[in-house]
Amino acid sequence: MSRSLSSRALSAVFHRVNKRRQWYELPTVGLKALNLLSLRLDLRDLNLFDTGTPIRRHGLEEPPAEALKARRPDGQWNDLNDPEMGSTGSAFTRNVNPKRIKPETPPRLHDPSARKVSLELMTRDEFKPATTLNVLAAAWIQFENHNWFFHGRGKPEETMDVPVEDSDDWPEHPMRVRRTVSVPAHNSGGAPSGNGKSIDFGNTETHWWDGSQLYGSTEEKQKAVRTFEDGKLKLDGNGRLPEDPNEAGIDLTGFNENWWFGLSCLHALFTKEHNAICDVLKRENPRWDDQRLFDTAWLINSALMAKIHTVEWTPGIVNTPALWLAMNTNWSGIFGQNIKDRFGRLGDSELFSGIMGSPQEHHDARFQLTEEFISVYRMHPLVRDDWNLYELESGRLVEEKKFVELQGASTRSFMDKYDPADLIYTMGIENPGAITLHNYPAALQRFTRIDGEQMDLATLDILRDRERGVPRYNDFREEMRMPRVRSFEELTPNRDWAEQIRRVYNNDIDKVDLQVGMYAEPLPPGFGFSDTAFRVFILMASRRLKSDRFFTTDFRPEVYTQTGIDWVTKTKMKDVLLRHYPELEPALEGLPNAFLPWHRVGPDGKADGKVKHRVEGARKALEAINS
Amino acid sequence: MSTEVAAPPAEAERAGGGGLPAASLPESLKVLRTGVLPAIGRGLFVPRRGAMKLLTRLDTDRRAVRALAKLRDKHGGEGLRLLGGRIVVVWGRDAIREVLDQSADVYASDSGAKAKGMAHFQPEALTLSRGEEWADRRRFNESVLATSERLHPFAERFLTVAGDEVRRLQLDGGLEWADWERLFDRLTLRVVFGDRASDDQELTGLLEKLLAESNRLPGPGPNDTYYEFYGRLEGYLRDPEPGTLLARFADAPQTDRTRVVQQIPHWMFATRDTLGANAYRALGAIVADPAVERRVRDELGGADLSDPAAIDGLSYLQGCLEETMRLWPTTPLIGRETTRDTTLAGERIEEGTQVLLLNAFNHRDPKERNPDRLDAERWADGGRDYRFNHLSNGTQDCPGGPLVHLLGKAVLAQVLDRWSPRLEEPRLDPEEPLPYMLDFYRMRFAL
Repeated sequence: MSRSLSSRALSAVFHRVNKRRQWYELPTVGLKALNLLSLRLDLRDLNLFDTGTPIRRHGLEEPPAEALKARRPDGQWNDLNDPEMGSTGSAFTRNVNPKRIKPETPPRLHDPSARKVSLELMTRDEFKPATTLNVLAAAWIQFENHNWFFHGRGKPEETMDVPVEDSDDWPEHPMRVRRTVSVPAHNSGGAPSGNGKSIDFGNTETHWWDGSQLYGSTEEKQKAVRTFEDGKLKLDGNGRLPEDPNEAGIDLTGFNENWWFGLSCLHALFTKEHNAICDVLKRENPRWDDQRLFDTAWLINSALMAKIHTVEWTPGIVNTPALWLAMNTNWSGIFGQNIKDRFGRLGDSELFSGIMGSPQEHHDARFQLTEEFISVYRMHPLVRDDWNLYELESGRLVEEKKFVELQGASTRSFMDKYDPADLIYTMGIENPGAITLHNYPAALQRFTRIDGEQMDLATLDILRDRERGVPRYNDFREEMRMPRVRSFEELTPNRDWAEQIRRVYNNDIDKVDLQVGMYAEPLPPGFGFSDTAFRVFILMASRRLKSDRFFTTDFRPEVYTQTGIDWVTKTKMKDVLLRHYPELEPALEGLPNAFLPWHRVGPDGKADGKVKHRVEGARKALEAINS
Repeated sequence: MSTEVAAPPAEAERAGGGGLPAASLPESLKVLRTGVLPAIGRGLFVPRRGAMKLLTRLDTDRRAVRALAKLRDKHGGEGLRLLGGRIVVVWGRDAIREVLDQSADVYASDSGAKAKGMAHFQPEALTLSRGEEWADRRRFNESVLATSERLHPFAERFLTVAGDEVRRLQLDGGLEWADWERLFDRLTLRVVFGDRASDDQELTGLLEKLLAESNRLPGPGPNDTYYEFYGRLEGYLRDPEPGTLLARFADAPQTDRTRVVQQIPHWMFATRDTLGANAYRALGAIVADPAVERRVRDELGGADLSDPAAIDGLSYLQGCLEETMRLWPTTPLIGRETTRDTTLAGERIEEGTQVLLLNAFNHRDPKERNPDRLDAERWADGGRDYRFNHLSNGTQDCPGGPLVHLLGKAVLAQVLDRWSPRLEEPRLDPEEPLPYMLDFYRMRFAL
């Protein structure tokens, strides 16, 4: 693969620097950001692989007219030459050369047993909060994941037997776990893997950042959520989503697996946002029909969610100035949104004027999300077991609940007792769990799905990576050009953990699973998750934008309307919240980022000052960057 | 000489020998200069070759013994407070016993320069632990090393290894330190890790590098060498070879706080470096004195050297080894720090006091019987003496003691059985008191 001179030069410099120091250990924000840019260029050139099908550069048929200015429910025709790219059902690709991928089979698949890893390393001993974040940030990432990927439920008759110790009280010995279903041959290029096993697994959702968690990934799903009036989505009279006619207790929306009240709140919020966009579009374009209003509001709303994720959620969870700079640069360019607003794009450069509106580009591999991307988004420790529920108006603690009582089939009946603003407020002030070892929610370690199947998600998190051939921790780091760790003490400064991991993996550092390594390794300052996971983010966060025609070539007024472009550019998460729940104002006042802990409201209805002080520094820094 | 029953401190005081008189400032400085500095200067773990040569030429231990003996005669007592009491040097048998019997608890061994140096490569070793963790790690060490058993359960294999390694020696007319070091290197690797490790020079190299770094009192935090070294130790633990110390891990009592891997390096350098040097000196001391050598050879006569019971029965040879360690202690200085206010020799000392046992002086105190001769009978009944602390005494005595004796005797017996070495350099006159210092790097034998 030929690489540009400048990226090779940058790579050569930082390759040497990074032997001694990681990017976050460099002295200035500028150097850190430049190092990140270099890492991204390397990752783009060296870590994007099609599993089989190459990019189609010349279309075989004319795109249908309705695909030119609108997204399709099944994700087809985003790339006008390669209509299948990123569409529903297409295979996940890889950030690792498929030749080196070896889906694990027994005995390695169970060495050590994923259940043992779950019990001995993941079990939450005490709740460890992520004090810099709120629960809304945890709900948000699940909300976004549901936009991006789902491997499906698997077939009950195709299982793997996970060894379970005699003393384990798990009801089945061995534990039966459904296999991930491989995609049919016609959907994959039949990529060869390191040990001849299939490595192509399909996405039941579109790969695009298209809001499919609200809008569905099939035409049928989409029809079910639309009103077909003024472009709007269905909401009931109380501003809540209607109930799914096929699943009691669960809301009707584009994707409603693994349901709980946090997801319900976010789905309702952005369904409302969609309808609000429709109102404005209709007022400005009285003659537009339902379809056009729907398509345009869909574009605007999904771009808005992508933006909130890029410039608010990510800098919230990776809370360091270099990232604030990098993510804002991704979106609006190094000169910032104001310059871009006043002078327009300064050429095609994504560095100067951001990815938004730059030319669509896939960097020589079809845009499909990757298995490794999914692996680094396993963040279940974010979930709390114990919930305190508050009333916004008085700040009063109303009740305490266990997670199981707020989710699945109980979701709607639980929510009936609350005003949605109370629930959002509760999420705003409470911390999620920190993404580390020994912080896995008990509720998910012994989880009964809505269909009655029992599962240990911690076991699954380990087993899925192995089954799909995502490399174990050290091999994964090597693929990301990070140094391997040589001993358990090097893996983590927490010596107790080092000892426990050593025991579970029988002294073999190279066997440590990716999840365990990521949960154990020391975090860079301000980080809510590991630097190892972050490498995949660096690549995929910008790729999700850069490959999507509607964020690049077609992010323009002719497609979005000027109102739409402005809506996306000027709206922040806080604005969305206050538009639909203005009563949240006291809790959000002055906050730079809605994913940081909100102010707690006292009995007099006023916010206390402590939190304000805590976020003051972050606020100033964000203001400096935004100005 | 057997261990005397220690008199309680109050009684000792009544007898007039108690107490910790205060030294004047010049006296304090003299103790530090003659007793403490050279101990640090030679290298805390591995004696530096150059320093060893220089200190031997200066005969620093002789100066230390003279200076301390003079001070002891002047002040009497169980020891001396230096620099206003922040440091206490202890020489009285009873006071030493007080310190060592309460070690790791009242008197912690995890402070001072040596501990800081050790923390560089084994921060959670037994010797750097206190309280619960110390007890936990001690149990583990005692189990693996079989401290309470006369013979280690794997003694037979260890003897086979010792026999192999002595046979492997290629001595073309002479025996030098390099040959001996190589022997002990392989012996250590095979005893601890197994036959597949016998040529793992890289592992030894990593440890030697860490030891050399810790001699220089390194900065905080583990480095690449550390991680690489521990990675290799973990590698051997994946699939322990039967008959090795690692094979004992599975059945040894342990918790997550034991940090089993961190216990290994101490065994490595104690066997390879410390026992290696001691056994080499012992060989020199034995063959330098025809009377001693004759008694050793009489004892060896007809013994089956592959039989653990036979090796165990070599009590005179064991006495020679003990005497060598007494005469030329590889640990010239033992340091402890009080973890709370306490009394020592009937006197109050504060928390944080540095308590020093100067082995270089205690072992050669002119008041002891035959301080400068190899007097193996001293150890005939297998007793212990709190003034002689080459393997330490009390709660923190060396848990590898029995193994040290077994391996040391096995190698010496095999060598004496095969050859008749003559000490070429330095010359030791059996009629003269033995020298205070014996530079093992420069010892050479003709065969």
